[in-house]
Amino acid sequence: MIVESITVRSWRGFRDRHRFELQEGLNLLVGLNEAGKSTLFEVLQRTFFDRYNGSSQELKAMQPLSSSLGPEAELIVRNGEVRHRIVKRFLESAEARLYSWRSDAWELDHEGDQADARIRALLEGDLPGRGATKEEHRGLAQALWYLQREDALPSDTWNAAVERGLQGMVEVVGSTPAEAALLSRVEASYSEHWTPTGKLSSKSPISELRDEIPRLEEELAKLEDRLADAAGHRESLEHLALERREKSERVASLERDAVELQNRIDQAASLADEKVAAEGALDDLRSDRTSLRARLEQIVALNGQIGTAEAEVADARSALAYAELEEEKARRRTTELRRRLKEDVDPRLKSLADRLQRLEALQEARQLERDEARCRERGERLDGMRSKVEGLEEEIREMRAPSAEELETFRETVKEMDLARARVDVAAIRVRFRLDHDVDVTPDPPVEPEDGEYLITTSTRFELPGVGEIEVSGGGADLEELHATIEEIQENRDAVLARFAADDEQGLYDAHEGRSRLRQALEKLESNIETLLEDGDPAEELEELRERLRERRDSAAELDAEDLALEGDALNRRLKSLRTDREELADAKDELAAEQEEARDQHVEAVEAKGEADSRLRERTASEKSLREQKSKLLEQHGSVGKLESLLETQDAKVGAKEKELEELAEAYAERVERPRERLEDLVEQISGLQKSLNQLEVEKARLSSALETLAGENLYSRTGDLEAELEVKRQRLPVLEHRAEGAKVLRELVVDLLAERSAVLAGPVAERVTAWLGELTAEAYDQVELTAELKPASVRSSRYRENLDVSQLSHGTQEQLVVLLRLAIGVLLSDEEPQLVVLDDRLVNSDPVRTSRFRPILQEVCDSCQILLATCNDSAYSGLGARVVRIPDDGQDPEGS
Amino acid sequence: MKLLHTADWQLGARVLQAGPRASDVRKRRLKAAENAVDVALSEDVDLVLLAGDTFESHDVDDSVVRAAVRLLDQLAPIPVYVLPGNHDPYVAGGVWDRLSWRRAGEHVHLLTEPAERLIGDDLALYPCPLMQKRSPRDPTGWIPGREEGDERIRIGVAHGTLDILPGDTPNFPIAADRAGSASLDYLALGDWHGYMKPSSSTAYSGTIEPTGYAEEDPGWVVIVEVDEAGAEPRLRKERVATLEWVRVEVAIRDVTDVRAVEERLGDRSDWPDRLVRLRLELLPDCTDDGASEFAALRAELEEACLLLDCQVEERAREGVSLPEGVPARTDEILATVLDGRIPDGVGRAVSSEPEAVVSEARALLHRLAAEVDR
Repeated sequence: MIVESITVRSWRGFRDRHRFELQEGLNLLVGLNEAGKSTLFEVLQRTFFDRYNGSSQELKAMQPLSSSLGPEAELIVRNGEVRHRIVKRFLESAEARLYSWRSDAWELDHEGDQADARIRALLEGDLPGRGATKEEHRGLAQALWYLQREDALPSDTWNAAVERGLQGMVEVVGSTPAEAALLSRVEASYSEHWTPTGKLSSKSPISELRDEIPRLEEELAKLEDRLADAAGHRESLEHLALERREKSERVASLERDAVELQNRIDQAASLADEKVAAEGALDDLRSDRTSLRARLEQIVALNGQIGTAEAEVADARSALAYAELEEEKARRRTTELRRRLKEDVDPRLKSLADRLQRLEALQEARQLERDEARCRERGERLDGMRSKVEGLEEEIREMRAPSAEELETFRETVKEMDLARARVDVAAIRVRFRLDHDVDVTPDPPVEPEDGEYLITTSTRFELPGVGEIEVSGGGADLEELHATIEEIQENRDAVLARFAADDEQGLYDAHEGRSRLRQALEKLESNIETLLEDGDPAEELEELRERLRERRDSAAELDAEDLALEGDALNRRLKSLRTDREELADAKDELAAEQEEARDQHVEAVEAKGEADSRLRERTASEKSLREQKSKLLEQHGSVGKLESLLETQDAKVGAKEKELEELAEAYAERVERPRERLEDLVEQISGLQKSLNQLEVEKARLSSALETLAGENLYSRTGDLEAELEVKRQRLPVLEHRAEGAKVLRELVVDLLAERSAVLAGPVAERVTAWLGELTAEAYDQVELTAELKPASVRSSRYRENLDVSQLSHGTQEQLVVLLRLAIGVLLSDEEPQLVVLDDRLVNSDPVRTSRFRPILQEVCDSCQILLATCNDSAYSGLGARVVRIPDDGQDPEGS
Repeated sequence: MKLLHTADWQLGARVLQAGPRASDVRKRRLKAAENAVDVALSEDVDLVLLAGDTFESHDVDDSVVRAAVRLLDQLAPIPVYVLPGNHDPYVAGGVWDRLSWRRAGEHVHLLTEPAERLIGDDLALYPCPLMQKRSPRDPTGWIPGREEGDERIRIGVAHGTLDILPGDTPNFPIAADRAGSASLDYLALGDWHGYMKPSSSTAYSGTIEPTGYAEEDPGWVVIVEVDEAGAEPRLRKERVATLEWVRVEVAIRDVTDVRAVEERLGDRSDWPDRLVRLRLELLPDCTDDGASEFAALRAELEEACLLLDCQVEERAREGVSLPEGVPARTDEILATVLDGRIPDGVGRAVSSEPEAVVSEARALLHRLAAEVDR
């Protein structure tokens, strides 16, 4: 396929309509940078391969700046004998149309998506994704178009981006449309189930089935579990029904037995009455016998009690006699003790106490006499001190001495006068005589010179014998005032001194000190007086002492002479001795009193014991009497104990006969009534238990039935069936699909292997051609090019060193030239039947001038079979090749278009 | 005396063979039961005998039980005698204990005991209900012979396998001469899904609606008329089924074979009532026209039939023209492997694949080539 013309509008720099005519063979697109050369290649790429209704950023970038118009292009191409007109507009009012030239006119073949697909098929392109076309979508053009911004050779990018394109190209190479269509279907069949790397595709129905079958199985298992629950409930119900039937039958049987037993019991009803009557009679007999026996036992017991009572009465009498004796003994002793206290001990004790009291008064009187003497002495001392105080106070009153304030005032006056005098000295006139010869200077008033200098404070006349007189006056009013002040102060001072009869300040001070000392002595005396008065006033004390002394002397007056003569230690010893005697006698009295108390207590006890013994005797006597009366009463009905015993024996015989009769009746009753009744009760209990159990079974049955009803309402059966059916269909479908998928995989792998084999065969001619051209280009520096099975340059052989060099070892320029040669070779081979378009977008820019010139014959050769579009800034290098030079953008100016 | 004998309604059956159409088939069974009721009403029968397997299982949906009760209630006051079968035996907690069933009208009698049941003065019914799913015991064994002077019509109703039918271990076997030996005027049987009359007084009515592809002559109810005790009963089949299950196994070589299949499937207007199982082999020498015709028929059947279960065994067809180059070489290698030989070079790995997979690969290649040709 070759391109005859390219028309473009609203496409990047081509705002207006531009139309560029191309020729078969070599076309040079010449222009400066940004003239629009690469834009034309973009026009080719987008127009051939991109969706017309795409909206990717790449497409939007094609719009001229600040324009919302849709980029549009028109290509006139020729494919074999057919000419096509391709029209596409993107973005705004997007459209795609494909025309064919028939009968001298363009006929519209397809529009929209269909046109898109047909246009893309011209170069065996693939449908791009949602975005813009990538290299791998370009089909044949992937290998034949070598555009800017596309990598030259780096193996990683080349492998990732170009490999598929080359492979796609190779698949197409040499294949017929029928083969291509078939292989495409083989690939499609494979892709239904497998990813390009041979893994099961997630979109494959096999994957869906493999996911879905376990899910359905799980769901089915849950439903089957529910159905199993229902089956379990049903089985339980069957067991329940069986158990219920058995128990119901058992109940019926037991009820029959119970009815029979009840009948037998009813028949023996009269036996019960007889037994009751016999039991009543026996009870009466036993009661009578018990009564008789009790009476006899009472009489025997009373006899014993009467004996005991008699013994107790005798004991009580003995006890009373003894108590009376004891009471008399205690009374006598008490009386004796009381007499001894009153008549002996108490008078002695009183006499002793009186004497002791008088002696103590005597002793106290002696002490009071001593106190009186001391008190009197203290009063005298106090009187002396008070006399001294009065003397001192008189002396102080009569003494002429300045107070401390007056003394201080005097001192201030003296200072003031000294100050006035000093000021007079300052104001005075100093006169010094320096005479040539000695002259006795006599001042008037006289002034004594100091160091030959006279201090004149008043008008003074100096007589200088032999010289004459000098009168000095001056000093002024101040000096006079000072003199007056001094005189006044001096008068005050003299008055003070005169008042206190002192000659000077010292005299004043001494007078002041003397009065201070007198005051201190006075204060000390007054302090001593206060101390003496602290113990009380001696006069009052003395009066009191004398009163007390009189009392004591009066108390001691009755003492005999010997005692009255006692003094000091003798008196003390006598007092001590008497006190000891008194204490001993008091102790003796206490002992006697205690003894008397004890005797009194013993007497009281003896009286009480006597009363108790008397009471006990009366009580025992009454008891004995009562017992004898009871016994007499008991024997009233029977006469004697012997008769009573005989009657009891008769009653025992009656009871024995009745007991035997009752025993026989009870045996018959037990046999015919009691045992059947126990059996009946047992039966009733069993029936009750069974009915309770039956009720429980009914409850359980109701529960299970309810559960079954619930399960039945869940449509489990049909849901299980539907699920099983669905599962079965999918299970059957899965191996069929897996079988088909495996078949498709084997087929596709075999096809791929065969294509690879063919590619390897194809690589030979390509490599041969590239080798020849590379030799020409490099002046035979390299003499062999190795290509991989995927038609990728692998290595070159250095003709000089006979060694293979990896392509990556070549210079960047040489690598790029190698890629250009590869694409040209593929182009030549693909153009065997139909010329193909080869695009080189400034890809020889890195070639030096020599290499560029060596490219000329190669391009010439390629042009024989291909159409070449070569973008360059400089067309002079390709002059003479018969190339059509298309100036960009000038040659595209369309005078008609707008 | 005129009665309607039916059996094996199998209501609620899951019909797994119907696959995605199982639900439709279940509805059709109810429709067939409705047809049976209509027949009974139109024939004005004296009673209706349902000889077992009214329900497919004790687990059937409650809606199915309710639907059955609704249908039977339409028969009132005609007495209906329902016999538990081996699918719905009379057991505790079974379908007969459902509240829905217990709401059936009083004219519906569930036969739960093997005991003589008098219907009026002239008819004695001898029911043989099943109490379990399986048993080697003859359920009709208890039926007593006619007593001397007994002039009543005696009718037995049972569910089981007549001992003349094929099978090694019959479930609930029934003596083939039970009607004769027990002096029954008619023995109404259930369990066999096709209509069968092994003797003049014994018959299987068959199921009202076929349940699969393998049944013979299903889809009927039987009208039985007995004039008097000892008289031979008169039987008449009435069609009630709504579906037909058709199974076709054939090898296709050309258009003629496809036409034969089409004829076997009957009138196109009946196809919506057909469940079709096609087991076809596309022969290696099948013509393109034959293959195309079959593809068209298949598409039509898929659209028209209630169900099409189609499996096609396809082998690599002979005479397919493969493009030269890779396709031709591929076919050559696959043929070599299928021929039991190991190819040299490329394709050697294919020889280790299972033969079925290689065969599928080659068939696929041929199929794709045929598509390209078309």
